[in-house]
Amino acid sequence: MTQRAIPHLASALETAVAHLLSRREPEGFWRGRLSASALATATAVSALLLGGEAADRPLIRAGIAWLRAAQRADGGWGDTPESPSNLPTTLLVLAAFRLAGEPDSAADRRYAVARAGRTPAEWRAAILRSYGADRTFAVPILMHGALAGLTPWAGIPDLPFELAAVPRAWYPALRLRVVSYALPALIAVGLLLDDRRPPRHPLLRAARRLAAPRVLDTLARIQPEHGGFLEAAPLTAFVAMALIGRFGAAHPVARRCLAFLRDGVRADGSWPIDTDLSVWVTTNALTALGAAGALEAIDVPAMRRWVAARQYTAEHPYTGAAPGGWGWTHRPGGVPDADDTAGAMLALARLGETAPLAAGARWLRGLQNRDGGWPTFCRGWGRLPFDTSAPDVTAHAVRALRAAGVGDAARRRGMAYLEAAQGADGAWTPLWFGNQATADGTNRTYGTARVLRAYAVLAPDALAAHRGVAWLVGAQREDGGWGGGVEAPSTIEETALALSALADWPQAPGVAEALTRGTAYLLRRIEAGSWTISAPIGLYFARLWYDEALYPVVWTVEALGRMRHIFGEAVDR
Amino acid sequence: MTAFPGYPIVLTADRTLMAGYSLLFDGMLASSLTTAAPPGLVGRLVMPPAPLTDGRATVAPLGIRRIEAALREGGFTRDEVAVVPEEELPRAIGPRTCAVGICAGEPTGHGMNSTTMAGIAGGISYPHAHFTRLMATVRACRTAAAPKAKIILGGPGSWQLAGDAARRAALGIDHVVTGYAEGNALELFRALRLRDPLPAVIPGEAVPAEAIPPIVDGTTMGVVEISRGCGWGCAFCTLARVPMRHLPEELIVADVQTNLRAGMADIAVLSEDFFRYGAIGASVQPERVLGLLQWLRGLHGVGLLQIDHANARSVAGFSADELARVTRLLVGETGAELPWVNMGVETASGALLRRNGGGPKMGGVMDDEWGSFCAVQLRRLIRAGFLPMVSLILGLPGETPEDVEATLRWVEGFRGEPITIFPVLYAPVDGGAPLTVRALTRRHWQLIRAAYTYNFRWIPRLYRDNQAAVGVPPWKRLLFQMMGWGQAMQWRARFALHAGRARG
Repeated sequence: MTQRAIPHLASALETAVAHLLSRREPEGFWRGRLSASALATATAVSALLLGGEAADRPLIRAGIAWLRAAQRADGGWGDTPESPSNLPTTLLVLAAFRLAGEPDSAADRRYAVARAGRTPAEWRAAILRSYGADRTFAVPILMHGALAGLTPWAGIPDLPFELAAVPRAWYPALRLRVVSYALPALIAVGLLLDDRRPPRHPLLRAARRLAAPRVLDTLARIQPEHGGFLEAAPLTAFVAMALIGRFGAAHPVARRCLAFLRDGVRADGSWPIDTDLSVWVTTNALTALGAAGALEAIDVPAMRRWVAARQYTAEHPYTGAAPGGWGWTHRPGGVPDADDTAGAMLALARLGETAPLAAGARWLRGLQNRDGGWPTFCRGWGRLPFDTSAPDVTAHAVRALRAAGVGDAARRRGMAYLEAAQGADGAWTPLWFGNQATADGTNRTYGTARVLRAYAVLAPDALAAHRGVAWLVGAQREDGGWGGGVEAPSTIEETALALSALADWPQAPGVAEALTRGTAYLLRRIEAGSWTISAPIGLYFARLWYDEALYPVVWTVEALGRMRHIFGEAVDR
Repeated sequence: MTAFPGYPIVLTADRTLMAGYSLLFDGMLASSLTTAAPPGLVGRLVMPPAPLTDGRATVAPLGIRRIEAALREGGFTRDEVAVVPEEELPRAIGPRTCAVGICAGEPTGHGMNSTTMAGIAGGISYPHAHFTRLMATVRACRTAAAPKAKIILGGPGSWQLAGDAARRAALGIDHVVTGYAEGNALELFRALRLRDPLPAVIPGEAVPAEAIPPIVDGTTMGVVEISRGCGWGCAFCTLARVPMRHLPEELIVADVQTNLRAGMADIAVLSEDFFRYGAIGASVQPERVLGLLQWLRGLHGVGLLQIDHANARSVAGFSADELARVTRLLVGETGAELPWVNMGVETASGALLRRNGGGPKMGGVMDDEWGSFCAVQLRRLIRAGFLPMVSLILGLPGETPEDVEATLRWVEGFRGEPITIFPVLYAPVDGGAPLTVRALTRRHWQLIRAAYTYNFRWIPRLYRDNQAAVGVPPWKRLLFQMMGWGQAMQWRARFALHAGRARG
């Protein structure tokens, strides 16, 4: 269906495509740029300090200076330079200052004091409260605080590292209170806590003595060649700190961790939360260029090869995942996951490369949970949110299976999960994206838009789809854009995602007008030159905020490409 | 007598954006100088204060004038919105003030020009230094007279602060608006007037070119815009992300007439690509450009018409006769013999330019022909009477020694010809660390010195010529020449110093 042409749509799309193309690496793929992170910088600086290498002093000085400059007016630190202060990040920065011998003044402590109280015990309690049952992040933060003398060792919950010695197949049954991706922290931090506060029970002490060498072997085996676990500076730094605390800086795993941290520092002295999302942004970019009809601008065979070469062809040592999946980055620390595997499959299908899809589909089907949904990394590991089924991941997976032309039954179960996961208001809540401006930090625009893309190809007439469309139309703001929810201000990212999703239902009530107003919003932002500033809508492990410079660009190209099909071409004059 | 309660909305900018310049080139010079040049001399000679009318600025950056016009169109009265220079802020900000709007060019000094000039000459670039000083003044005025007033910042340099909450807090800035904002300025200032909460970073929203409000008072250097954006996607330029939009001739003429009424006879006609004005897609329309110039030249009182940017690809679409007609229309009866135009060649290596998103800018030109294509277009401009001013970027991502060598040879190829060439050091536009002078090789320095051989010869001539054309008195022209000699001596010494320290 072609509606009335929108003036300047074609040239805005041309500019958006040109900008996206300009962000490629010389090899042709996209690396993107993740925001700098106070949390990553504080932990990296602390690990290097504990490593004690004189050659690291310039990095440490630069890191501390960056942290000083990143302090917010309320005295605290946030996840990204545009995020509000939060207690975990603030305590990690204060710990880094302590370790660096920098006096933390009353001004530095005022946010922590206001949020958690004056005493170290109150800070510890506040950290434990903020993460609830999930110890994945709370315990390493408290360990970091204790190493710096900021918070006490006493009262830090135990991490049962010895459980990492049991066969991997048993993990789901153990109901661990750390999520699947945090195995290195479980081992390293658990070992340090065991050293500082040996268990009283002689049997447990003995069991841990026996398990220690074995889990250390596991830790060494799952460490990537460059040393960075999951490409994540915080996780790698926590592991380094714990191992140095227990075994000294000469421990080989710790040394490799420190080498990774040195390699990951940015010129301004900061560290990002993760090295990059190269596979994720590249596959999203390819799909967007396909939607915009602009694939002729790239070397398609080379990009097919690049994406195909990122598929894991052997069991992954970190999660024990079977071959066939893709991770978020091309670097050694990546781990296969459902979202990136789906993204890669959809991009390859768009590029006309079908050979790798069968293995990808097999891998996805093997990951599907009993409830029909897809988790991110490991099937049935536990009940913590990052290991359970998620609507955004599930929607992506069913679209990928359809692109591969397999998995009818799996897709049906996936769609049933999506129907069950729909909120009473018709929206879906995603796992890996949020919005700082919504009351609960969720991003239902992202979730609903992503799920509707699955419904569009698998069940366009379903009631759930129409309820989702109605929610999305109702969430449009007065200015024509969308935010993370009804109450959040419009952003380029969410507006583009909403438009791309609604493009599949141009005949639904209210959609035609929503598309016109939404496109006008995007054009106003593009013509103002304010469309490439990214918003912190990404959620990293442990619900840490990040923003990615390419998100607004990629999703705008896709949205305008889809809008061009609806509104047709208009000659710009 | 009761004290003046202040204007509800005060708009301002630092001196580098709001001075009483005589020429467009004065503004370029001001943004190229650093505090290594004597502040007294620079402040009085290069960027003297602009005259005032009733305590208000007679000239202000075009961006401020557009916001002022949008507010006036939206119902704010002249008594509610005042555009004032820094010196007048203590008299303009009072208890009634609810918002101070600031136009920023170089708030952090991260722009390529600032990092290059500060790196080579030492000191801090004047745009950065003056912005810092302005913010101190604004904060002091707010504390003293209007503690509840909000400071809202926009302008071409606002992107430098959009992702840096801590620096904004340190500067006392409450809100940053990115990009053009005629589309939401009214709504934002109304909210500020009502003391409604606003986000810290606010994306600007544009209006269609035909709905851009005409200015209501004069602009610094008599600047009018004929188009916005460029849209060709080069990775090193923020305006490459904005599609080119052409302003209607009627609006341009109205803006020129407003400037004439404000006493600005010499007009700067700005575009990211002057020769692309009125283009349909990438297809240039010489008759549209010539028609616009004829209209402007026909306005009573117009002096020298100055342009800034042009692209080789667009120049190629003009015949020699059309280029010569453009020159004649720009100069008019002023007697100027050296009208200049800036062309962003960036590098003689087409492959390097393409790798940095320059493919659309190059059009259909092959990688290995980019240097010679640009040289041909530059010589066509020279034959048409222009003094071309080329900009090059050193240290583009992926630059190889061979790229530097090719650009050096390209620069040396203009020996004896009337041209100026300004190499700048690459600085990423999305943050990240800029290239520093320490990272330059000896070959880079050889290239810089070769370029400045032309500049030291032709910039004094350009200045003499253009200043005479706009009626700058002889004593002032002499002072500029003397300052130029001093600067040239200082720069030669700095080049020698840096080149001696450079790696191989």
